[in-house]
Amino acid sequence: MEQKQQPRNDLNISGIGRMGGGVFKDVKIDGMGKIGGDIDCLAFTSNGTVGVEGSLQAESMNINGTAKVEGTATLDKMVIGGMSTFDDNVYCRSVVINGRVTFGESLKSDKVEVGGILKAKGDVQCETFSVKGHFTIGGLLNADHVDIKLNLPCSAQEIGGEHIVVRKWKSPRFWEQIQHGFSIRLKAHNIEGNHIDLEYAEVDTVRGNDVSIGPGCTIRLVEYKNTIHLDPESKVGSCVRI
Amino acid sequence: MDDDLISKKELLEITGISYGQLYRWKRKILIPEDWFIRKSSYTGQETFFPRHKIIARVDKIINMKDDLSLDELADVFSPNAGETSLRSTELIERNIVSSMTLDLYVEIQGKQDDFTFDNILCIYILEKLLKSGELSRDEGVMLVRTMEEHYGKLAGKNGELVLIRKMGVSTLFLTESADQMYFDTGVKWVIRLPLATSIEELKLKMNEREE
Repeated sequence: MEQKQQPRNDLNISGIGRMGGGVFKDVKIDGMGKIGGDIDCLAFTSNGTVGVEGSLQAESMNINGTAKVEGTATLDKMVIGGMSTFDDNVYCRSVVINGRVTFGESLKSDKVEVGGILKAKGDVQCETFSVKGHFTIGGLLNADHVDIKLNLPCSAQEIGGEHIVVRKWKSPRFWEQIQHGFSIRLKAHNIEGNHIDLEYAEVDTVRGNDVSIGPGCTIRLVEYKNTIHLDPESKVGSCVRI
Repeated sequence: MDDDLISKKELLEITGISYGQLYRWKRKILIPEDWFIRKSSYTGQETFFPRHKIIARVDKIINMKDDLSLDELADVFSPNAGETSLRSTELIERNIVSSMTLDLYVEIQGKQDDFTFDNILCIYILEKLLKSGELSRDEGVMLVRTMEEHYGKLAGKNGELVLIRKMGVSTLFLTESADQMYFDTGVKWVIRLPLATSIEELKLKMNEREE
């Protein structure tokens, strides 16, 4: 209701500029921009460097340069092609990361697609989480469908969900042939889910209904309910049916 | 306290739910974050839950999930008051409270056209306790006054309503938690009612009529 009374204007920064925040229609920054307060807009696009010192609320966010948001971000859609840092919690329905994004707290979303690098200090919660790149999650990765194509070493404290599939994206390349220390692995403390299908994972405990352990895994304990498949090339400490 | 905890594994065994469901419910905040208690055990770190609360909650979710979507369920379990307000005729027609209780409430608080969720909650609790015979009419008046004056301060928290009696004199109060409360021997606990359960019941009652 309020939005109709208040006409939204566009904000354009080309070059260097600083604004105090406010309510806008489209925000476009080509160059260096700083927003000193909370901002509420429809489309937020940056092709240069932008810093938001307050919270950000937008329908879509498109970053091709670098961006830093210090407050909470509530978005509908975000596409990050450059480098972004969010210091506080982020709520965003659809997240596409092609560059590098750091979440200082947690991320809540519906759909997360990572082609670049995702780092989160807290939890990541979403319905589908698909990665073809790299991620580091300090807390819990909680998603209905987790689909990981390992391209670089990845890690999470815990992974929980319905379907969890971890695959290696490419066949071993140059570095791996030289030294095994460069091998690409997924590291996690716990993985719990209904259907778990792992490859090249280093996990303490895996618990699930249907568990399949592919090559290159090092797991201390596997607990399963219905079916199990163990690859002879993987190291599993103990395997228990419950 | 330790005896009242249940491990995640045990919970799944008892209730028959899967990891996927548990994590989905956690995402939808059907199970509050602070029920997940991390403790170290001999197999490394494990997650525990408060036994009675979690089993009751899981049973409720399983029973209700066919009728309500997960988002609607999340709304039912949140301690926040609903946004709705209803007119007095609607309250009676939709069978949320009886006209007798409503008359008593109006007598105490004066006539009003619209009832907010908090008002309705107050009437609902009044009716529930009067019907069960635990509350006398005079105490009902006390209940309405206390709720109307102080409930706002507890909104969004899991408060409790407590009624004690000593030598026929009753005292009623609202508190955030009645766990740590000790009285002298002459005092009898008459009612101890967690508000959150009443909120859940009322929201369900209001929801089912809307469909």
